[in-house]
Amino acid sequence: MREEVQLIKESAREFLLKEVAGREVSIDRNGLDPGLLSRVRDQGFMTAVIPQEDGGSGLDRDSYLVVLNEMAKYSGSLAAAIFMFNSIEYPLIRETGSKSLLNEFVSSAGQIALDCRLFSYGGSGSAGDLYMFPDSRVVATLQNDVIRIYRKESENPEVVSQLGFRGIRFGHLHGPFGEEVGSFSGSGKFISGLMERTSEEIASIVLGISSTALAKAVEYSKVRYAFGSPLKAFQPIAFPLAMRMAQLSILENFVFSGSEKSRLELIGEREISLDFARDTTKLALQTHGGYGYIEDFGVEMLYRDALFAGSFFWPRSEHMRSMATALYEDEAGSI
Amino acid sequence: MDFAMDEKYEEHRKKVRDFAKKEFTEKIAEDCDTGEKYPEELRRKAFEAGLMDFTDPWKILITIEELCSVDESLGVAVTTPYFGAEVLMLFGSDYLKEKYLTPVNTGKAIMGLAVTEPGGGSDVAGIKTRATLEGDHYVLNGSKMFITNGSIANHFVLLARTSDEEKKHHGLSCFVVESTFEGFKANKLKGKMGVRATDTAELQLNNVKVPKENLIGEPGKGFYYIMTFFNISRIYVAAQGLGVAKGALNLSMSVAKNMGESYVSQESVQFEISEMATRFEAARLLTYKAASFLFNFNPNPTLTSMAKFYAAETAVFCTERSVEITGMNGVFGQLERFLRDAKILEIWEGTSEVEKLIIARNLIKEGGVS
Ligand SMILES: Cc1cc2nc3c(=O)[nH]c(=O)nc-3n(C[C@H](O)[C@H](O)[C@H](O)COP(=O)(O)OP(=O)(O)OC[C@H]3O[C@@H](n4cnc5c(N)ncnc54)[C@H](O)[C@@H]3O)c2cc1C
Repeated sequence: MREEVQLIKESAREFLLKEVAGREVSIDRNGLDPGLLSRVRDQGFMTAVIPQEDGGSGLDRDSYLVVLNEMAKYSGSLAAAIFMFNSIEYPLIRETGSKSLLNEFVSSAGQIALDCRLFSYGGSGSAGDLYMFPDSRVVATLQNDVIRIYRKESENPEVVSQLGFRGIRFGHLHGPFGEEVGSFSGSGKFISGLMERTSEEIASIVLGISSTALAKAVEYSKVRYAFGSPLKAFQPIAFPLAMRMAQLSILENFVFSGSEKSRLELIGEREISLDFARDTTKLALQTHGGYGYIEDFGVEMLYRDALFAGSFFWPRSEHMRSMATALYEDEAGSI
Repeated sequence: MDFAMDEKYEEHRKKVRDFAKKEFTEKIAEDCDTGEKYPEELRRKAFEAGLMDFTDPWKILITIEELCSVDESLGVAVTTPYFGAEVLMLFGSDYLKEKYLTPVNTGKAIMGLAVTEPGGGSDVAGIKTRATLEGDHYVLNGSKMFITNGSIANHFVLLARTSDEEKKHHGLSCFVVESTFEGFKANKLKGKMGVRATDTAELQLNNVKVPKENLIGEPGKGFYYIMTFFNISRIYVAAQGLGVAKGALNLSMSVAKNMGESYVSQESVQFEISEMATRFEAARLLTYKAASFLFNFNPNPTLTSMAKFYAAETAVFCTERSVEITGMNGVFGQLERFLRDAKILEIWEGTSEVEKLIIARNLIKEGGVS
């Protein structure tokens, strides 16, 4: 890891130990509080990868991935909020070409409510009126091929129950919205570009979640006893944990290598990391037995977050299609 | 070999399905989930509808499967007021049956089974709660963890150590402990991942005096009674798994259909559906086979453990895949609840690891599969 990336990693870790450690479950239950979010902003993490000329911190990509990974080790929700801001919302606002809107957005680091149709399969709007970040001030909607940004004037909507990343809220939001403040056409290309560009970010987040899950399971298996032996003595506990730790290390070495990756590798690392995270967090939960099923132990949350990340944002078949297209360098896997 | 079920069972299945569709509304399911509320009203309705017919275990299995296919949490909540009843039925004295089983069977009382302790659940013989005989009563001290119905049950079948034998499982005995006995305290556990309509509590026993006649069967036989019970109840946990797998599969298919014809006609989506459905059918065959041995008074613990482990795994598999194929639609609402509820099936009444140990050890003893 380059020295400057290592430094960013350490400063993120320091921040997390001070501000988030010990509060992970409470964030999941009660949401990311504005105080914490403003400190995340003050430290420059909220605008991590946004260029300095647009008012962001201007970190390079490797540093950004490491920030997401570190954040996810403590709070998947916090990592997801930073990811949404930098990787989804910022490109969306930038695409409108409105400098004033961009300034307002970056300086307030407020979030945008997003029309779920942006992400649903084929833009069919299957999730109906489901919007994200309901307490945001602007709304991005998709109509035909045009993405429009409006000021949000309606009441904050009812929050819906969600599997993971509960620290950030999702909810239903109904129009009509206020003044239109920006728009751009060509959403199809923009959205499929987003899908590919965000693969590494999702991989970084779920590997962070997996790393915490494994650390917890390994610690627990040292101190919990069954049948007169610590759990680590049992092969069905120790073997899969050892195997997953090795896999995590290999995956991390690849994802954070900073080296040039092919398109197939870029998209593929997301899918491989998601499968890994799902099975690893589930294993960690299982290792904790009944305690793993209780929120206070902070293990079940990791499983929920890992699964939720898999739905960010398109169904798996869409990602697989991109992978197949990368493989054949031609349209593939459409049937 | 005939895989078709008797018509009376198909009628029963329909009756339960109709009940669940009418009574297990999404509103109640959501309220009980978010508010961690026990659905007392539904319990009464289910009882009045005669869904738990103890004269016919096939009907119980079908009831559990069908109710859990609509909502596992509500399904378990209304079918576990009887949890532990088989221990009393098989090993209890007439006095105990009359005093503690009759009110449960007539819907007037709720019971529970208390085995697990804070220090361990898999290692049943390692429990620490102690019962000491003092004159005409036993004095119980210790604590129990994760006890279903813990804060709402009237009484529990509870496992405690009565002597320190060289073989630890020889020194255990079962008692009926009333929640009103002095020194008994239940602390409701909040914040479960799922099955949040079910009540779960930690029990504390501080010098609880239990009349001698509340000892179930013979002293020192408690471990054996509990294992016999698990060989019955694990079939019902497998039925919970079948319900969840089926419910998640059917729901995800309808969500996928709503995502458009072009979505559901993709082969990768269809293959996921096929895989879920095939595993479900395999789990059902295994569960029904294990059940048919048990219900014909010829229990086969190897098959029972296979059914419990495989049906639980199938439920988790189907809920995960359901969420995966439905993308953003799956991580909100009903499907995400299915997923959170499903995971408990691999933990309670013997973790999947414990089931696999039982299967292998039996097979090694028996020289392989027949
Ligand atoms: C919601 C809920 C309701 C419950 N209801 C009840 C109830 O009504 N009554 C009751 O008595 N209990 C109940 N339980 C407890 C449940 O049965 C136990 O949690 C379960 O048996 C596991 O025990 P444990 O949690 O102590 O895990 P442990 O026994 O500590 O096991 C931890 C992990 O180690 C594994 N492990 C242990 N030994 C071995 C081995 N030899 N080889 C390989 N792996 C091993 C386990 O599989 C598990 O993955 C409930 C639990 C929950 C969460």
